[in-house]
Amino acid sequence: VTLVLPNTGARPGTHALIIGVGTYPHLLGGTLRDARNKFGLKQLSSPPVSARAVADWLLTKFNNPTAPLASLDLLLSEGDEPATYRLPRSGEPVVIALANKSDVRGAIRAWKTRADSDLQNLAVFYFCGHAIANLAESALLARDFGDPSEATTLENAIDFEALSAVGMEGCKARRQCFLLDCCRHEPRALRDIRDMGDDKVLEQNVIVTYDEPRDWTVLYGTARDQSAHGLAGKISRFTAAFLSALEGAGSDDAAGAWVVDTYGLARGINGCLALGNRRRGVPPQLAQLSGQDRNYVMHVPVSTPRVPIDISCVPTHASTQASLSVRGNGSALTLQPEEERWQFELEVRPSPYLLELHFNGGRTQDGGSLTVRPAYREKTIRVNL
Amino acid sequence: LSELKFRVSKYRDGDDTPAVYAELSGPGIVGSKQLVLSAGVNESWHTEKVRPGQFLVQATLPSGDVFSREIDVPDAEGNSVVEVRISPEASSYESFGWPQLFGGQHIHGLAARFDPRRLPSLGAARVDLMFAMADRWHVVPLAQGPLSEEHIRIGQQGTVASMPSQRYLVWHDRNQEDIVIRFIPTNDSPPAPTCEGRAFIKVFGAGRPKTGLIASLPLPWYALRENGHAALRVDVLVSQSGAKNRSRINMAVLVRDELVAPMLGYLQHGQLRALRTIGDHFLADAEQLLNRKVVNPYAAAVGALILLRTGEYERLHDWPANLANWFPWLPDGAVIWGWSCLLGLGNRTKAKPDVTAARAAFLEAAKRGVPVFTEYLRLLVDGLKRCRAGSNEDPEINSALTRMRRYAVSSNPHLPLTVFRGEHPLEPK
Repeated sequence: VTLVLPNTGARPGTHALIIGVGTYPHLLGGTLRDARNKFGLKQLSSPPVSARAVADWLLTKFNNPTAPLASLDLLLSEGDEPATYRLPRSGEPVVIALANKSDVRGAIRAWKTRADSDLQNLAVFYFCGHAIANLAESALLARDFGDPSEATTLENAIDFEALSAVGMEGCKARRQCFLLDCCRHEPRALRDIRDMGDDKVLEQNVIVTYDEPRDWTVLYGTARDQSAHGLAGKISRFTAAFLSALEGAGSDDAAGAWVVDTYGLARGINGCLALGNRRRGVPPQLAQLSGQDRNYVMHVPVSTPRVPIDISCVPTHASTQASLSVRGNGSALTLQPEEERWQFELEVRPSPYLLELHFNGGRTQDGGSLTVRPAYREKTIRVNL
Repeated sequence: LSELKFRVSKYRDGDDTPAVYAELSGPGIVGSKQLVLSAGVNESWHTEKVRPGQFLVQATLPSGDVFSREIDVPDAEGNSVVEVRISPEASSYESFGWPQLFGGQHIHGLAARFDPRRLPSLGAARVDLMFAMADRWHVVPLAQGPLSEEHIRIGQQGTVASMPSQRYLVWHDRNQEDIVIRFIPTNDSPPAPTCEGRAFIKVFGAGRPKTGLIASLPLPWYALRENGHAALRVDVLVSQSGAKNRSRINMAVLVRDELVAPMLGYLQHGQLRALRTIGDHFLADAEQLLNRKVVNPYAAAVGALILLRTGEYERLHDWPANLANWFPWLPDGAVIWGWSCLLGLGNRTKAKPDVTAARAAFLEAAKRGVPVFTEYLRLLVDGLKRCRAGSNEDPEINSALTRMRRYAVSSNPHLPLTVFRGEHPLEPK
């Protein structure tokens, strides 16, 4: 357990557990004895980066007036030694616990205990790393997954459904959000395995009941039997979409003020992923929603949200020759032409905008208007070259 | 005030008009207004009274695709009418117009998990209807050939509520890449053989009849109409994609229900706001159906699933118990009843989880066979695991869990209706 934000005692409050597992010593490319069955899984560099980004965002931008951030626990597997995390505001370094199975189990139990303090608490669980799945179940792989000295293949994995669907039913926090940023491949070898990892991390014989039903949202980074993607050393696509949804793509002002609720969050994440799927060279990925959820407010943006937009030109190479000006909402910004550019990608506040292309030699072309609302907008300008 | 008129133009075969969720924003609207539009060719316009100004309509298709249109409503004297037509791209194949609207593997190219080496050509594939009657399995081979028509009557044994058997014209078309089978309800067909019990369809390679793709057919499928109820069409699409020695085969069951099919699409694509909005329309119908005890148990199971997912437990009423008891052949009904027990919704008094009742319900569901809907299969596995909690030594639960896990790993996770690889409806592989 590494509480980068020790429990503030705020009641109700938001209690977050963030886990990023990139280094798997027993999998392909690892430094320790090979796993008996590696399932073809390799080392990852994106999860620790993604987990850090989520921790940074929660510590600096998260705003939930009814449940402010009350604690944040971070586990990272990034190399052979415990990683250091610098607190985003103070720069103070914190040595982070590894994400071995024992660390993860202890962290989950401590997180559940913290979240147990109030019915109105919000419990946030984020995992980025390897997972394997079958239709109904997912096993989250801890750092020491595949240790050949263990008795069973999935000894160092966490049965996610036992955690989320069963164990957390016994948690007093009635609002829970689970984010799984991992592949959900369904290896045939699983057909012969009776369990999907440790299903006793939390008490399974849940007999307590609360007056409030539980709202639990599960956002899987990808659909069943599909890959979740990320560039080496960069934030993963799902996590980038998650953060973008919190910044604005997932926001809604149905009641007049901008909020990010769980229904909007899912729409914003898939909107950002869908926008990315249409970009050149980006492998397709869509998130999947599960759980049971009446829709609750997750985040209230402090300033007006920002919504991603893509502006493309036909023919495509016009965007390598022209700059794009975007005017509206009391501001103007210009994106310069770039080589290898396939579209202009930017984030703006919800509002009507006027677009204009500027070519070398002073020629301009009206790009029309664009009214921006969440989750995203895209527009194609037909260019007269 | 001026009039803004909307329609979603989407050419498909058939004249049904599935519901599409949209949001309208602009002057005089706080945030956005939620709309339910109809998609089709000859659909009627949806009208909104608005002030002059710049508007944005964002229509989210059940496939998850979003189509936006900006509209300028002029400041004209008197009433002006502005027509807005949202036109998603047409499918290159007429038969795929409907699945294109709802998303899924046919459109997005998601890899199917089925190795069709036993099916070198769909042109030579065999299609069988399979159903259990009087404790025996019966097989009705559908005629081979490029285009054929047959008649069959499909009903359900042991149904307590009113759900009469229905005659279908089975329209069967195929080429080397696709097979399209349509179950078209008819009242004037000649006498036909009767399938009583759950019907399955199996597609497999000629000469190698053991393993193929199997789907549970949700037939008969009824929708509420003003003067009673009407049977709706159900399609089965089988397609092959990829190079010859690495090709893949996909099979999907498509229900031509204007409300339920979009809801399954929105559910699959995580569009819960759309789901809840359209669900309100559906639930009003479904509650009427239940009140009349003229029940489409499949649609009711979808409705119950949506209420479970969106936490609207009060609206579940007695659905779970009725679904479990009235339709003793439907696993999905027993699954939702099991979850009701786990959530403490089993009776109207103080909610308390009833794990004993849930255990019995999940075991009963497993006994009835593979659920009709993929999501119910997932819930059944979850439910069995939950009942096993605290004791791994429950041989009945362990046996049921092992059996359902075999279906889970054999099934196509991208489809709302369960399709799995196997030799027989009771034998996933």
